[in-house]
Amino acid sequence: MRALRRSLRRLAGLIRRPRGHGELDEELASHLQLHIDDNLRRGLTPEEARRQAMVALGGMTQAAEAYEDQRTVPLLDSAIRDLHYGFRQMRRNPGFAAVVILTLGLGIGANSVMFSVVNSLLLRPLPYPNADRLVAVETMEAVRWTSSYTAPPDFYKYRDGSRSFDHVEAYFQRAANITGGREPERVQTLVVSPGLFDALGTQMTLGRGFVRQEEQWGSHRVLVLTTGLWERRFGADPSVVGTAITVNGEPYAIVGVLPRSFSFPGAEAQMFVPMAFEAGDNRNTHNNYFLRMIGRLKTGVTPQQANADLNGILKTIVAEEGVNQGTAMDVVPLRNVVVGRDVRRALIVLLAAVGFVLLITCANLANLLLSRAAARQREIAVRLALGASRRRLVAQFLTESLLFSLLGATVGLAIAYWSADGLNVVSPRLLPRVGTIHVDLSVLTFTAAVATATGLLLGLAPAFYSTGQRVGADLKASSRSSSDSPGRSRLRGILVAAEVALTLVLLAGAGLMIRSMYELLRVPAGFEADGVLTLQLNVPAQKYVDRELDRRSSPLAYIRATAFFTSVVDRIRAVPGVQAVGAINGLPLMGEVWGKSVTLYDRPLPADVRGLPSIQFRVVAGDYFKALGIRILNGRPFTDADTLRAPKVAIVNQEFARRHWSGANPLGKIISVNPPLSLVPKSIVDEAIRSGAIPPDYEPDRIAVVGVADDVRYGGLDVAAVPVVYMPHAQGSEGTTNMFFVIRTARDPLSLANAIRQQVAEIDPDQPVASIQTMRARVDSSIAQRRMQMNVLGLFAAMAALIAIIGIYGVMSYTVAQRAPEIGIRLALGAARRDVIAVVMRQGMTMVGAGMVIGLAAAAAITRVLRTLLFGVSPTDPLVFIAISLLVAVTAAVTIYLPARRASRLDPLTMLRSE
Amino acid sequence: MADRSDVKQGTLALMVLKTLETMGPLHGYGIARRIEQTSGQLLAINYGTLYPALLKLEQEGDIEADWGLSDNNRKAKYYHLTRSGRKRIERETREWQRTSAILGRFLAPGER
Repeated sequence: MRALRRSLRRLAGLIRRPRGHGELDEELASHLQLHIDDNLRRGLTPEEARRQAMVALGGMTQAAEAYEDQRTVPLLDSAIRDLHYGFRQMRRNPGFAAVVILTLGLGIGANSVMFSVVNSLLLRPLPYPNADRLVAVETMEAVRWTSSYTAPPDFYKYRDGSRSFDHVEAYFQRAANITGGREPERVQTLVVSPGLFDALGTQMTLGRGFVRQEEQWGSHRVLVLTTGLWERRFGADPSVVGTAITVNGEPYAIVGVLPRSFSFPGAEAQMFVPMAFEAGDNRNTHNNYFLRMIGRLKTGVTPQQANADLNGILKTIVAEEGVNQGTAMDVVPLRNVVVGRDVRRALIVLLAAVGFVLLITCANLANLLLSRAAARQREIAVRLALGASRRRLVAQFLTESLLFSLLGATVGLAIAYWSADGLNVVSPRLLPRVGTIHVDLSVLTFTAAVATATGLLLGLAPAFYSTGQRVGADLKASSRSSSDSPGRSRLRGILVAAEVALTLVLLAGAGLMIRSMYELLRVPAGFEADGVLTLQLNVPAQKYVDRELDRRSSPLAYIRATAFFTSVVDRIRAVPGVQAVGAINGLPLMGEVWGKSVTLYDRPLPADVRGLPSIQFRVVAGDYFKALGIRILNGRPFTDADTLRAPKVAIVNQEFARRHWSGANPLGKIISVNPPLSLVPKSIVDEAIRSGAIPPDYEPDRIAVVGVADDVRYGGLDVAAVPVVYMPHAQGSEGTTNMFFVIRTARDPLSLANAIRQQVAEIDPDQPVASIQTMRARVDSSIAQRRMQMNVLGLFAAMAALIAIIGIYGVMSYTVAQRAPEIGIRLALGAARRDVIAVVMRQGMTMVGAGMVIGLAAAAAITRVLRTLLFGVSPTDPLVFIAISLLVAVTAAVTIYLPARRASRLDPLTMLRSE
Repeated sequence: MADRSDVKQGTLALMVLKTLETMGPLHGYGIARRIEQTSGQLLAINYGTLYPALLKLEQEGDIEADWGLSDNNRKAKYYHLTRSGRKRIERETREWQRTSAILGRFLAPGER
């Protein structure tokens, strides 16, 4: 209690300085006066009385110091004094201060910006209540350990049988056409199990979510809107809840509107409908894998326990149904799935890179402060001689550098704050959508920590080198010729070498990224993107597919869809400016669309389905190959004569031909894209026959290969071609309602968009035309993320290089200035200017060389972390390493040459005279 | 003067308080003189110690100070005890007596 009261008074004493000070003076004066009075009374002369009293009182200053220490908190007090001193120093040299603060601001700001991105994507919980219990539930291919989809009957077993979850929910993505009222529109829709919103903990803004009842066929025609769609199409009218709209030709009741802040983890959607299957729906069977699952763990259950739970259920499914062999269940935190491994890796690499930039900045500014400390060397020596403690001086240096770094941090935070808006605008295209990027408490804390570390790092070197000197030597040294102390110049050299090393590491990273991009763009994509317009027509099955025939796997089921797509092709073909038009169910670079297994009849059949090679299956219409410029290497493309009644034909890609018929002529070979029944488990066949899905005498279509097409990168530029089988949509053996049109044009592709939309509307006014985009734009956006990584890392490397160059220049100029007298003497004694240049160059290049050696070694070790982000280039690519070494060496040499030349032009007479 | 000793750490506060208790309100110079006299000139008060000690006592609430006039009309700061100061005297006096009694037993000759 007593101690507390004392502490409080002492803290208060910090503020009430002036009054307290004066009071002690007064008190001491009165003390002195009383003593003198006493002495006078004892009969001393006034002078003697005064003298003795003064002696007895002792050092007044000393008393005042001791009194002051008791009155306030000494450490804090001196810190405040240091702060005042720091501010005074800044005011005295505002230009210097501004440069330092702005440089630090940029360095710290870049770090804060990167961190705010990392924070929102990797650190902050996903924007759902108790997000730590949200997991992705995935069916994995056990051998390759890649995630795949789940079949509906399996999902229901997991949902109803597991004990580790509050929720297991499933969804799949589908586009739906909204018609009626305004013009038809194609809307990204998620078909979800009814409990999904409860699993995420989402409350509707209006109306309600789904109820279990609504997964029964017949009760399923309800939907939930996002705020975006609600505002855009329904004018944010609250009364739409309860009304019906037409979705894919059927009336659906709007039951709820999601809050504006809602985002679905890992998928874009504007509308949600419940997942329900009609009795006998072929999709609701064990061999249709298309669901993704999300779970909410029960409190206290770990993903491992949930894993074991689900894998137990999987075992019974395998045992009872004879399906899903070779798969395993995996439960992982939802965030890990939403933010993929590559994005995570890239973010961490970029955060490290920007940290490097700050380190280089620090080294540079430390050099700057070191030079300034050298200028204040005598002042410091004097203070040391007068008895200032070294600790006090070090504290003062650190206070100054901390002051710089904290002011820099303020600038940095402002940068982070302002750039957050911009990042939020750009990021949806480039980064997974996980809440918004903004400056929150963790960004503030991070920035403060970075700033403090920066301040300490910045101040330590000058502080110790300035105060660790021998006082006598500095006092004796005349100010003019005082040369750099050996220790300090070594430190300077080390700082420059460190800058060069760090810069090399960053340049290596950036160089590798640039080389990857170059390699990527050089990849033969297999198609010509320029001059091609693409668009998507996804026709409603309700209208264009005969459900009953489809259920019986009849080739006639899709006859109306074929007719529609064919007439669209014909009409677009007639639009002026169109050179060729075709369509396909999955465009290049879109990733895998439709996997199937292929039966080759020119060899013995394997034991079961899993022995069949897998392919990517593509259905095409019109002149697809011609429109995209895909070369037919052998045989012929499809023609309008390949119809339902004509013999079934297929075109394979070169990879298929190479892998399965290397050397042999593929033309005329017979394949099938559905397995013969003898390879399928009997239970499934029986079930299919019983339900009427296939006739008892079912035989898969035998298809003749009529052509070989060039390899096209369907998985992305960085994914090697896999075997592909193309078939004409018109032959109807595998129907699809979703086609992407490719239109090669003679002029600007987008200029034809309206004419084409017009043609589609004339065939079916209710059919929306979606995702109109040039093929070039699709190529660009497929590499946008990689390009961004390259640009950002490149930017950091460029910043690093620039800062390092400034650093080298600064240090060499300083060194030359320091050595000017010596150089003057050399010149006076007849040294050639060339020799002077050589001496200075040697000194500079030694530092740079040391930095380069360390930097190259470090880069070779560190660039390994980039491996998964690179393409077609090794992390220690010699070309890149040599190129950046040359770049650094040449740049450094030029930078050092400038001060060296200045040194050689010194006038020896002036130099000597000034000595 | 040479054999006068400085005040032992921690004892000055009690001396100041006791002085104020016997003498009533007093200024710093008076306190110093009084302590020196009471000690039979065996103690020398260092003013660099006295004023911080007074300040500390004031911060701890044991004494308070007012400006007043001395006998010969000099302006001076007068210190007086507070209630907490009186309690402190009682408490510390007891402690000192116990301490010196114990030390006395250790130092007394021939009582092994």
